[in-house]
Formats: sequence, structure tokens, C-alpha cells
Amino acid sequence: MVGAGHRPLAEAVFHMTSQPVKIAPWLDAKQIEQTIENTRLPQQRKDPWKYTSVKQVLQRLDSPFEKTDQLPNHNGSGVLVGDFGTPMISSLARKYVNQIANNSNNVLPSLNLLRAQHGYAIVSNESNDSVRPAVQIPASDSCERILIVVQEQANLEIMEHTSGGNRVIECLILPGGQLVHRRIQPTTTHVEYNSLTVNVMENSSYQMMQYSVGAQLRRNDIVINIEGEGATVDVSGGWKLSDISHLDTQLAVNHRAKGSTSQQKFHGVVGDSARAVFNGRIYIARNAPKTDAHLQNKNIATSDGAAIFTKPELEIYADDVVCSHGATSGQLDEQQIFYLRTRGIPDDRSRELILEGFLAEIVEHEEGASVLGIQPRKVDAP
Amino acid sequence: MSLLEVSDLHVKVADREILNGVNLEVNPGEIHAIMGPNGSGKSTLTNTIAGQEGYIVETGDLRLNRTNLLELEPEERSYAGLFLAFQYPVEIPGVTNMEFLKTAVDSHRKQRGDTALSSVEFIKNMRALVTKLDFNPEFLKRGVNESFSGGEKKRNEILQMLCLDPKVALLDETDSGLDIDALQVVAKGINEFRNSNNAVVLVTHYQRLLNHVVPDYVHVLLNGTIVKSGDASLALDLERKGYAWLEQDTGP
Repeated sequence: MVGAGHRPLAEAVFHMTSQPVKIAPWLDAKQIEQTIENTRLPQQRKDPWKYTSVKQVLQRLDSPFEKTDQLPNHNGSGVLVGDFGTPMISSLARKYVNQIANNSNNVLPSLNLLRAQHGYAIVSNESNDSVRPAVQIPASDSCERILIVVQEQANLEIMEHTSGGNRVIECLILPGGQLVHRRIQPTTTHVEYNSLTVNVMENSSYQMMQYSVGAQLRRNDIVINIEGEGATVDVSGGWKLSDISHLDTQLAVNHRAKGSTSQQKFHGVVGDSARAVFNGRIYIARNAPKTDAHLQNKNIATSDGAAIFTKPELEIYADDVVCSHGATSGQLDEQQIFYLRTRGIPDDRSRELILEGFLAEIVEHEEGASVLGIQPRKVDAP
Repeated sequence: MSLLEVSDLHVKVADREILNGVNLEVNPGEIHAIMGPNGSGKSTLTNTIAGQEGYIVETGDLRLNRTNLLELEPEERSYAGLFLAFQYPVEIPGVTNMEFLKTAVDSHRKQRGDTALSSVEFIKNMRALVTKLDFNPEFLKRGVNESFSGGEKKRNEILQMLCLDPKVALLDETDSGLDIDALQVVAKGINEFRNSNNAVVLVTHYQRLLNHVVPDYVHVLLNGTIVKSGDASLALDLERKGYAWLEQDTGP
């Protein structure tokens, strides 16, 4: 079955091997390959790859990756970390790996599975508000598959670093669970791909913050599925891009149960000849009334060569919902600069201060501030 | 020696002449009020003195303490001792008021060759200042003018004025949009600020601020030029009679 969308990818470099799935041998590689064959493959210059080269992402996937078997550090309390064969993990892995990210619109998680060098799961069983279970997912230039499960009523904090690899995360937050996920994306000269799918069950909460600086090409696909009533999702972040960096974030929050809330808030500063792409989507299914969903993306271009492509999308099939969305791109406000200068703050420092403030609005964490090059707030309020 | 000297100032904005020959001399210890109807050029005068882009000085002279302001950038005018309280103070989201004030004060100190104040010292000074002015200290934690009420924004201008301690403070309609309480707080700040070495120029529509801050001189700006100057009683005349009688006096 060869669809019209096939050819560009076939001409790209991805080769099927029919090797067993190294990190998840219980999966049938042939079946996965068949799924890939049957899926309408991504096309260059069309949504959702309108501004980012899917070819480069695929080429990267077909080139050798750094081998690693490093497992994340964790603070030990109530968290289990191990590869998919680990007892107490293997049954969860068999149940969820390639199930959560099984998205007929995106073939990349399947490709990741065929190439993954490294796979592991993080499972939180415990609820502890004083010492929250915490796990550090290290940066790696590898092809990785990660499963995160937050059990009922449990909580977990994840600090994730990405750096030039191909990483697919599948995440499940069971009823009443809470996950705080910080993602730091420092400079890399590689082509980086991240796919994150989070299924959020009733009365659970998912808070994610993503802070990014330059990469040759960095693509973040984020899909959050709200599958249970009363769930709360809060996704925020920012970017500061320079040189010829390219960052593309595709974020979809799908409300599929009633009475849930979601927030998306991203601020970006784009300079030199860098490009920022942001596509934020809110989908509200017919069975999701009483949804409260908001999306905001603001960008400031600091040079003539900078390019910003931002698109907010709302797709609503339910009645009785509260929704808002907005996206802006602009330059520094001359009136703000003049105001600061009349107070004796020099022109260049005035510009910096305004940009720092703009990014500070979406930063709540020291490491986030530091990767965006913001001075930690020097003067505390009384 | 006068502190602020405006001589035969002609200013164009977007190719339209807004000021045509303004003269003003302000001496240490004086309070001047500039009054005039909408569109008479009041804000053009203050923005030009502060160095706003787009205000083209055709001819004339502008000096502060003998320094030619026209050659200076806005921040240099601030170092020279000029302060403009904005009619519409600008919001800078994400930058706390405290951080903004410290950056401004440190920039001034650096210019004078002084070292920056420590945060502890600065915060202590600011707390003393806000208490003296009956401001809520929460004020300092918030983003600069971010979702401040009209009155809060104007108070914030007064706070900045007191922090920077300029030689000449231009207050552009700082009284407009204030309720009676806020007006008194602003007036208190101005009276706190004034001394025999500095000067205040109040640009205003109304007489009511002048009940609390009594000017030495009142000037009427009409059609881009000062048509009448007098003492505080002129403001009372204007309140009673409006501007029309002056317009007739100076009409073509």
C-alpha cells in the first residue's frame, strides 16, 4: 500500500531491517514495520513539517547513535528505574510501550522503537509531598525509549536534559497522580528529535516546563491526552535562539473527558538568523464539556533575519467550554526602551532587561533561568 | 543661575510644527506649572526635553544646569539631572519594580563613579522610602507598572523620582486620573522631594493638584507657545474662566 505521501520518505534514507526490537523483544518488528508502511508518512513542507526538515530527522535516525546504557539518577524514595526487562517493570512495559505513543498520525515513535539503543522505565509508586520522588533523565546523544508511569495517588518530579538524540517518551499518570516535568534543552550542534506523549487520567495533574536554546535542528512533538475527568495540565516554557538555530515545538492538548483544565504558555526570543516554529493546539472532544483550556505564545524577534512561525489552533466539539488562544510575534517595544532610558538605564541594558523580564514570566526554576541566560533575580522583594 | 532653560524652542512631530517658540526659565527652589488645553503642546514639550525619538527640534536651545540637553541621549539627560514622570507610565512585564529601581539607581551611581549598592542596603532604603510615602511594600515585588491601577502607576513615578533625586522633575499630568487620596499621596511625594536646590515643573489640566503643591509660577501653553505667565492666582483664574479668553487675546 503505497500512498501519495510515501515517496518523499522512501527517497529518504530509512531502511527497514526486520531485526527484532532490541529494547523490547516482545514486540513484533515485522508488525511495526508494517504499521510504518501503512502509515501516511510525513511530507516535507506540509503540516506538521512545514518549516522543519523531516528528512534531516530521518537521516539522523538512520545514522549511528552513541551507545549508552546509563540509567537516570533518582533519589530512591518510592521510585523504580530499570530497563524494560526488570521485574516489577516488565509487565508495565509490555502493557504500555508502543501503546501510549501509538499515533497513526506520527510514524516517528515507531521508527524510534526500531532504532532504539536504550530503553528504560521510571515508575513512581509513592506519594510523598515532603520529599518528592525525583528522577534526572540525563542528556544523551542516543536513540532512546522511555516509559514513565505515575501510579495512582503517587507523585514524581522529572528533570530531563536533551542533547542531540532521538528520544521518545511515553508517559501515563494514573488517577490522582501528579507529575512535574522540567525539560532543559541546551545548545547542541546535532539534529535532535523528541516525542512526548502523556496520558493523563482522572484527577491527576501534569505540569511541564520546557526551556530551549539553540540547536542545528530541534523538534519537540508533545501530545497530551486528557483521558479522565478533573485532570489538570499546565505546560509552559520558553526559548532563546541565536545564530542559525532551528527549534520546532508542536504541542497538542487533547481534552477527551469532562471538567478538565489546561494551560499552554510559551515565550520566545529569536535573534540573528534563528527560526522558531510553534504550533499549539487545543482539541476538545464532544464528551469533554466544562473544559477550561488556554493557549498563549508570544515571541520577540531581535534581528531582521530572525523568523517566527507560530500558529494557535482550537478544535472544539463540546458545548459549555471556556477557551482562549493567542499568538503574537513582534519586536521590542520602543516605548518601553525609552521609559527605561529616561531612568538612566543605557539603551543596550534596557533591551536586555525587557527581554529578561519577558522570559522571566515563564521561568520558575533556577536551571531554566540559567539555560535561557537570564540572571537569577538579583534583588528580592522585601 | 537657572536650572532649566528653554529658549525659543521649535519642535516638529511627523512634519507638523507643534511647538513654535517656547521660552521657559526655571530656577532652583521653584515650582512651575504649565497649563493648557488638550493639543496645546504640553506633552510635546516634556517629551522633547526628555529626548523622545520623533520629536524634531528645528531651532532653539535646551539647557539643564548649562548642559546642552539636545546633544544628549535620554539616559544621559537622566544623569544630567532630568526626570520625566510619564503621563502614561509604561508596563515592563516580568521585571520587578525593585529590580528596575536598582538597575536605574546603579546606572546613575556607575555614571558618578560610585559602586553599586548592595541589595541589602538598597532594599533597606526602598523600604524606608515606601513607608514614608504610605505605599504598600508589595508594590516593589510586582512587575513594573504591570496591572497597576492608574493611581498606582502615578505613585510609582513619584517613587522613581525620589529614588533618582533629579535636579529638575517634569511631571506630565501626574494628577490626572487620581482619586483624592492618591492625589494627596502624590502631592506629599512632590513636597517631600522639593528643596532649594532642585525644581519641579508640573504639567497639568487642572487646578486641583495646585491646592496641594503651590506653584511659584503658572504658564499657559496655547498653540505651541506660552501666551501668559503669572503666579498661582493665574491657575485659579483659568479654573474659573477656561482658556478661551486667552485664545482671543492671542488669536490671529
